[in-house]
Amino acid sequence: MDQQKRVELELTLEDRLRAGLGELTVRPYAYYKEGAMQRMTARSSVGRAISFVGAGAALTVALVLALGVAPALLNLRGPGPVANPAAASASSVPTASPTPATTSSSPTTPTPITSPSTGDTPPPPNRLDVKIIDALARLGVTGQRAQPSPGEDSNIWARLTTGSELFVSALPTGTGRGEFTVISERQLAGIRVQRVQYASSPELRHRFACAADTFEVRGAVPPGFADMDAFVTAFIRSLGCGTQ
Amino acid sequence: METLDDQEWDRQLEACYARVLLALIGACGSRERAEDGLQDAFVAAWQPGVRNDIRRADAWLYRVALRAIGRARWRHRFEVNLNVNLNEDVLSHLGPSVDRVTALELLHKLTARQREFVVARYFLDLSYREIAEHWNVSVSDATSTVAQAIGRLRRDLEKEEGRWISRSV
Repeated sequence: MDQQKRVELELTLEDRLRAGLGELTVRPYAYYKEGAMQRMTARSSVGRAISFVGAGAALTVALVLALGVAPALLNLRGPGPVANPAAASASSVPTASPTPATTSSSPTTPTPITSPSTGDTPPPPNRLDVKIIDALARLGVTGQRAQPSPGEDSNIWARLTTGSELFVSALPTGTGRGEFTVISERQLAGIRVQRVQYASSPELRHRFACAADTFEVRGAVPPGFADMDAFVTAFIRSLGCGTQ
Repeated sequence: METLDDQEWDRQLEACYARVLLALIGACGSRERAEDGLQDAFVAAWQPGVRNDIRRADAWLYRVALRAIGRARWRHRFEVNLNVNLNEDVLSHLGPSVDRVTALELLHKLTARQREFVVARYFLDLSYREIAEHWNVSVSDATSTVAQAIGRLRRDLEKEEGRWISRSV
């Protein structure tokens, strides 16, 4: 293939790729970024759970081995005279309790197997998932889990009829998800609502506490509400918080 | 190299994410896998210290996402696809179905590696040197892979060529 021909083919290929792929539209940046942030949160929670379960399993195995192997070893010694008093007191404990050793391990071992975070099917909605989805539904917004959360936190996503998106996340108060700056505060439905900005994201979030949970709302204003304040006010009330 | 602050890094990612996503769709032929891969790349992009070694955010995202897509068969067993609950109405906002993009038919005639390089070269405008760096191959390997890909597509491209020339003149 001569150089001239090669250049022509390259230009044709470039043109075709740009035209073809350029037809496709792309969701807003926030969608992908939010998904990534949720994955980060989920992975760190799963990692913590796995390390906790792993440590628990290791301790259980060690305990079982200690309690199971010790009497076996001591039995091998037979009923002969005990060499010293310390060994005698040690042998009396395990020989008396081989059964408790196995029963004590049984409640802990199934935990990693039945853990919802490692199954093929997503875990069922948690308390906060249900609370948010129900509250949004009462306001005419259909929310769905952006990604199942292995812990108690919740991330709900709604595609509005305008084509834009609304995100609501929640977590038990006191379990923070990073540093943020409070831009401003106001009272909505009798509840203090902060405008906050996280270091990892320039997008403003509307943050408030309701009962024992903290909620954050961001994204587009759903149709039927004048602005985000009006929506947040209605959402607070729909959650059963604030002044009705 | 100077440390990028979060906002500057965010701006860089936002500036290139759309092109990278389209490139990924071109390389893997699936929007869902491309979106999953891009999100995995974003997760990696926000890890501490990563950004300081990145010269071209688009090239880095593309490469990292392709790796993630390669691992996707395993990973999908454990994670939930974000599109699972999207109905047809939502998907219709995203333009024509990937199946109907003719450029992808062309790319499917190539091997996976050839597709990755061709898209990197002619859609993301990476140089052969940049491709070589990101895929850890020699420049001559990168060049010959693309040349073989063009050779394989020659007949299809020649059909298109007349149309391209007539538009260009």
